[in-house]
Amino acid sequence: MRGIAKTTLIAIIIAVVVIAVAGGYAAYWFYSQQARPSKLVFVVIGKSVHPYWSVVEAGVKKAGQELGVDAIFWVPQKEDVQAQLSTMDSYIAQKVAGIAIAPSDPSAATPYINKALQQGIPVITIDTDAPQSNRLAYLGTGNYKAGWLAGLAAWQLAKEKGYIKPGATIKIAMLTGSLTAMNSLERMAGFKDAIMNCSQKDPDIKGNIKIVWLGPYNDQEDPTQALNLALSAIQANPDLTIAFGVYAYDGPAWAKALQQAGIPPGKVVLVEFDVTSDNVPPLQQGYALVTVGQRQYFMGYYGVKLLYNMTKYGVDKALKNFVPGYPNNKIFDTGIDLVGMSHKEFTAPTGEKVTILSLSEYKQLAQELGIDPSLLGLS
Amino acid sequence: MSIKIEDIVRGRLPLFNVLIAIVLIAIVTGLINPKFWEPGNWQALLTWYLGLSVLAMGESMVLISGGIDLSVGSLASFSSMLLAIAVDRLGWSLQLSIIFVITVAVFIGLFHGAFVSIFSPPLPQIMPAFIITLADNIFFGGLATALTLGWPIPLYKYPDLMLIATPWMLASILLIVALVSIYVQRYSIIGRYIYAVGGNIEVSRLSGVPINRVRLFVYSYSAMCASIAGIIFTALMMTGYPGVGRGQELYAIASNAIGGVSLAGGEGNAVGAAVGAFLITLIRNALVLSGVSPYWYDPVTGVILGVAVAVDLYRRSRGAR
Repeated sequence: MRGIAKTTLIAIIIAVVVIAVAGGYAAYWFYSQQARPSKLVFVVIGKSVHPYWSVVEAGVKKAGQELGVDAIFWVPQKEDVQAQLSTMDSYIAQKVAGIAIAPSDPSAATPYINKALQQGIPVITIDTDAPQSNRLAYLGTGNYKAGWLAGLAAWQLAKEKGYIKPGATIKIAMLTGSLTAMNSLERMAGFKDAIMNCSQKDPDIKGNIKIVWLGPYNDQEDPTQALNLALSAIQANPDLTIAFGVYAYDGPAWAKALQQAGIPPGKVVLVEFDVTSDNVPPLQQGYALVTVGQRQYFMGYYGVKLLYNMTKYGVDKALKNFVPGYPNNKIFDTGIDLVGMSHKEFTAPTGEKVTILSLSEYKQLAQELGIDPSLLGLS
Repeated sequence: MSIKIEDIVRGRLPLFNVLIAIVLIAIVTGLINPKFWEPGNWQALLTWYLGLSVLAMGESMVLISGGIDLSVGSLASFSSMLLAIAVDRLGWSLQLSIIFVITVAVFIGLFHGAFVSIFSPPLPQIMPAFIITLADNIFFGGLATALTLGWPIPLYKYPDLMLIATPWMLASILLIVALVSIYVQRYSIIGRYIYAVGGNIEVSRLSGVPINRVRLFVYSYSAMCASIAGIIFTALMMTGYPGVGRGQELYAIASNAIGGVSLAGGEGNAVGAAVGAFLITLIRNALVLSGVSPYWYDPVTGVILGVAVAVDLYRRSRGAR
């Protein structure tokens, strides 16, 4: 009995390995065939099949249309460093006019990026940078700036609710998935700096306010831990003024915790990050007052335009016209949109003019750009 | 067994140290922040406690049998995604989806048990158990993410799911899992076999204990508890997230170690696991309420776990003398 089971098991293991190898090779062959373009093109390589990347694709297509060039968007089925890089390699061999890549593994992509540049193909990175490579520019969300704008919005909304008065105490809690990842640290630093700046520069306050910072609570990217931490934080501080959800699921976790703790919608100024199918319901229920929408569309759109300009006007001129502070700075912030239930414009104490788009405006904007709103959870 | 004062003083009573720690932490936290004693906080505690204690009680079966199950955290996330897909993408009824998810988990557990049984007589059973459940921890964690490429599946449209997340329902699930686990361990024949296998596998083999059947049972029980935890997490969030419960297997094992379940097998019970899980939950909640900087959560939790286990080991080594 045991002998048979063992033989069977070994046979199954061998069969599984053979099928996996053969299937994987067949799939790889299929996709690499599919990816072969018919004429000279600009190529944008994303990370995976994902609504986020479909939005990037819409930007790529739009830019291609406007410029009258062939703009190809390619992604592997799921994040796959090898497939990404071998695809890039085949495009290099075809001498395409320019490549934008969001490297799944920046250090692995570096030799490929440099190889393309050596062969005279301009390469930029989008969404995720490969700073060690010689990429000509990087287009992505500036997370510090995104956090900063979220902080300005939080200050304004809290002030409108009457929480921010001279001599008052406000409690601000941040919930995040990582205390080490750069995007999390930058978002939190921007948020905190914005509020600290506002507290000094606001003419009604002039620093005469006590700000208690709670957290940053770390859920280690586990949404249930996020909920539990949020629940405990609210229990400990029912007088919470501002809550910030740093990762996409953190906003909804705050909203659930507020709901469970019986705190009425809108009492706590909740700021979310990202516009996805689970970020939108808290806005509609009134628990979240504003969320930060990334503009990944423009990574695709400007990516293609920038590459096109590089081939047309030369690399230096194109970058000088596009990236502020070039050549010292090679990073372009695609920016964010603040999205709430209704349209709002205000001037922050720091002097910046800030606009919060309503959900319907944001949806309209997406439609005008050719993005399917359902990709953003706006159906 | 009657409890003698001497036993309490010498710390011979199982769980006594843990209960003391719980009471101390509760008193100190209550002094720092009186909101600790408010019902709202205890509801938050219960919510938090539930997933971990169910995972820990399932894990206790495997640990008592002398094995280990490292896959429970990822199985919880996989179950969460599977439930969301069944309800939202396939349009199945909630009841059917839950039964489906639990059934799938039980089969995964049976596979773990079978794998351990096939390789265990030549190898000590902890080895194949460690390898296959670690492999499945990685596999199912990855699969949960790959199913939707990392996207969550919102389930706001299914209000029935919210019923699971009501405090009474959560408390009843906890009670049922606890009662079943205790019944199996204390009063059933399979329970006696589990302790026998974990205590001394050679003697059990010689005395005709169905070792392989015991393994099939304990691993599938643990996997079932993991999927129940996954379902609870999904109901709490009203969304299927691929990241829920990930990494919780280590806390589930720690709960058992604190609660007096021997990692070498043959000792302890589900009550200990549940009490240990409560201590861990309480520490996390107390740290938030007492305003300790979150950067110190893991170091503080580590120290408290270390002390609790060391005290327990000391007690046991003295008891053995």
